[in-house]
Amino acid sequence: MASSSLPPQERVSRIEKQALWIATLFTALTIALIAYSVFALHASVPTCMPNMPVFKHGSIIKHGDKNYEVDFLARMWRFEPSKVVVPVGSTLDVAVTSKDVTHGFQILGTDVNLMALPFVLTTGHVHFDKPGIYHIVCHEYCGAAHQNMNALIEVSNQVDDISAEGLPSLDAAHALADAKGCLACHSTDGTVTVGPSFKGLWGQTSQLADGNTRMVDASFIKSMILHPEATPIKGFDPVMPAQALTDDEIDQLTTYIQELQ
Amino acid sequence: MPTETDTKKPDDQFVPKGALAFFVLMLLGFGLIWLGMYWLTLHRQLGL
Amino acid sequence: MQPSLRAIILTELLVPLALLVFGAYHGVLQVLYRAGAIRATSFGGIDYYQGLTAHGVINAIVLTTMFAVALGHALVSQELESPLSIFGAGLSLGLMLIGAVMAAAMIFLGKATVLYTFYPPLKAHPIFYLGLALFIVGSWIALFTWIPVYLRWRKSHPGQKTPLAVVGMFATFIIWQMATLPVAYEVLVMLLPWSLGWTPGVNVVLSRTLFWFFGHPLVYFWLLPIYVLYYTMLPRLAGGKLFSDFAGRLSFMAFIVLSCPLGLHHQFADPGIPASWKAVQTVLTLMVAIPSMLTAFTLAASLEHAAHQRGGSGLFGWWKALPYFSHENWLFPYLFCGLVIFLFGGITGIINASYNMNSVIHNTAWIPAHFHLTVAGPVFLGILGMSLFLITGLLNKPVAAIPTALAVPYIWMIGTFTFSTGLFIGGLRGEPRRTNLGLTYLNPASPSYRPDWWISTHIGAIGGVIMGFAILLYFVVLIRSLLAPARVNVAPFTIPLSEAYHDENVASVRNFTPWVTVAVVLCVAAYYVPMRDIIRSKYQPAPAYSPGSAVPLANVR
Repeated sequence: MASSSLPPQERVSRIEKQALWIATLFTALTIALIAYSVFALHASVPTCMPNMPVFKHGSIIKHGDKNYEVDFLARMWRFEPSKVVVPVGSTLDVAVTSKDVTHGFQILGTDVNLMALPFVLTTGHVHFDKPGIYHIVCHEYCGAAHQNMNALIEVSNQVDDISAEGLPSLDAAHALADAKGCLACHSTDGTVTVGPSFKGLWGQTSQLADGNTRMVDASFIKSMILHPEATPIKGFDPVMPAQALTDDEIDQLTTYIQELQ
Repeated sequence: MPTETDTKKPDDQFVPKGALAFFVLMLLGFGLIWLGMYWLTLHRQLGL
Repeated sequence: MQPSLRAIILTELLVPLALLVFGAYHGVLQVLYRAGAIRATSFGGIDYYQGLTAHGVINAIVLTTMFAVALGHALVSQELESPLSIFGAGLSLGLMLIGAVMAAAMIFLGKATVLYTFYPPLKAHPIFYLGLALFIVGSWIALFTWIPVYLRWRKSHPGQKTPLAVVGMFATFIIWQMATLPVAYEVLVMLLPWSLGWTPGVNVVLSRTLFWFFGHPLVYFWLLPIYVLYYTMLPRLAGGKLFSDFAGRLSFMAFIVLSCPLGLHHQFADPGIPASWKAVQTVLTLMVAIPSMLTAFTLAASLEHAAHQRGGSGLFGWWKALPYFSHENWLFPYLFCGLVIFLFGGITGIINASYNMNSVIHNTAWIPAHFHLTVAGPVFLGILGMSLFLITGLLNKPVAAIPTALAVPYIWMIGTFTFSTGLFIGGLRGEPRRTNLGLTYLNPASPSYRPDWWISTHIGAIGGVIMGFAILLYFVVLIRSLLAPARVNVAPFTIPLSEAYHDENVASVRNFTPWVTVAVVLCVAAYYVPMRDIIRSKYQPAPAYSPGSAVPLANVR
């Protein structure tokens, strides 16, 4: 058992004090080097920008020759835009926010590493002087399809201006499918993500989990929107939420899917 | 249980030089690893 | 020891170890998902993210907290030579068990797939939040049972130093008390009403800040009970004495002051917090490295002293003389291997806290690589070893299969080093943490496939499997020990603690009050402006989402 009765006045040994000084010196050096990178080299971390208006859609903005701003909207489960192409030598200011839950946003290979929070704006800055593909990854768990959520920036010497893909279209029915969350799980280009793609879905014979089949027609689409839990589809997790859409909205979506054959 | 300090002051013969040597090496190793990441940070920020 | 207290301590050690079976199982599963060996959303009926939530809650909340409470009961009652209130200890255990069962039930029902950080606006079932709150309150009650015993002891032993082990356990729980108040507010005032549908949204910036106010001292809550083992048991296990009693006391007091005002270093990448205050807390964080460095030196000095008693000598040769494979001191490698692992955990923690350097590694696989060298290094090995020691001691059982028991910490160390090597490399190459890589990034059939992440994820998988194997061996030892017949004619169980080589008498570390006062002042100073800015910024409340759907829960029929 450790001694606990009052010992003779023993002072701290010299070697211990030496160790304490060496440790303090190590800490002081790290603080000094960080301070140097901040004050002399202008390193920074994301900060508080109170009461900034927050955008609702992704966009690309040209501020000057090879000087761009990209507003990335992070949402379950993609980034808007999903792809940006810029010429070599471009400087990008990125602004990021979230439509729904907390997402991450890292441009791999750069120092842009941000958290995207709903209703809050955050920014980063990057200069591209070498061509290549720069992946953007969502690195904060944001739900079931988190692992599908990524984007990319292509830095090319074949272009002289910025372009982007994955920005929302203005088509009303597409906007409705977007607003109601359908596009979170159903793509429009054939890619299978959480649910089947809308492209080519109309008229298909759907295999249900219970072994039966149903044709994808207007009545099946309506029942899937209102009561998805009644007919789970084979090969897909039964996670589609039921939604109380109006008949008019259901008609719009049905027409939309029909158009995507 | 009996304690050492019941008798006399513990002998000051033992000086942990080996521990100090380990400690210094440990911090030198830490410093190298830390500097490597410091460099990587500046490389990604400034393209150094 | 009071028979009821013994039963309470044994329950607090055995229940989390039983839960660890699943917690460890899903750890191994995760490395297989991440390497693309499993390319599915779930395996064996458990979804990846559900299993990840269970892994974090079981291993990093339930196991660590219940062990700390059990160790505290054992050391406080022994060192202060006093019985404890069985009502208090029993109430503490009861609340922790009920809370843990509630949270675990929700996780296993798939209603709390929000990970152990439960960041809103992802929403879990109200019973999950309530269960967590009850669990935390249960852990508070342990400290409340020890305080009267401590105060009585101080009165009846005037002028004597409080036993170092008691100082360490009190420091642990004082820190815990300060740390848990903000997260209790977050859970009970912000998240629980919101999850019941009583409020339409939650302030995400505020909830994150409250969580991380808790989240940093949480790691000292994990570490300090192990530091108690290092300071008070390790020197004697090695055959020597604690080089400096003062170093232990100073470290514990320094942790009380410096554990809490640091949480912003987990929010470097967050908006809503001013960069200048992130910088202030960076300086404070680098300062809290100092008591750990002091501990490293003191423990090395103590080990050197022990080695000399065993015939060791030289500037470095003495390391060879330590009892790495002694059957009698089988607990030694659990503590020693933890220290070796912690060398790398420590330096990577310092890197993570270095302000702008954080942008290289935030939310990448580097982060779990770091913390599997801290909470899954010294802390986990200390818990495994000391649990086995306490369980067999309190039940008068021998430790079965000692060679196997000795092998566990070494195999675990090889496993964690391999695992973390893979994840450090992967993280630097951009592999995200908390992500089911097997479905996309490690799936050749996916458009997101990253073949350049193959090697790092596979190194991580090998490490994870080795870690799983070490735990399997540990359970073999534990179960065989439990099944062995009790020994007879054995002296009453006590925890053998070390004597001090230098038993200094330094007045400044003899009292908690000034240190706790400074701690509170520092917390207010470090957090006042950021919190004021958050509240003034009036962030729009964020509506709830379930992890499975992009449709806000309020819109779902």
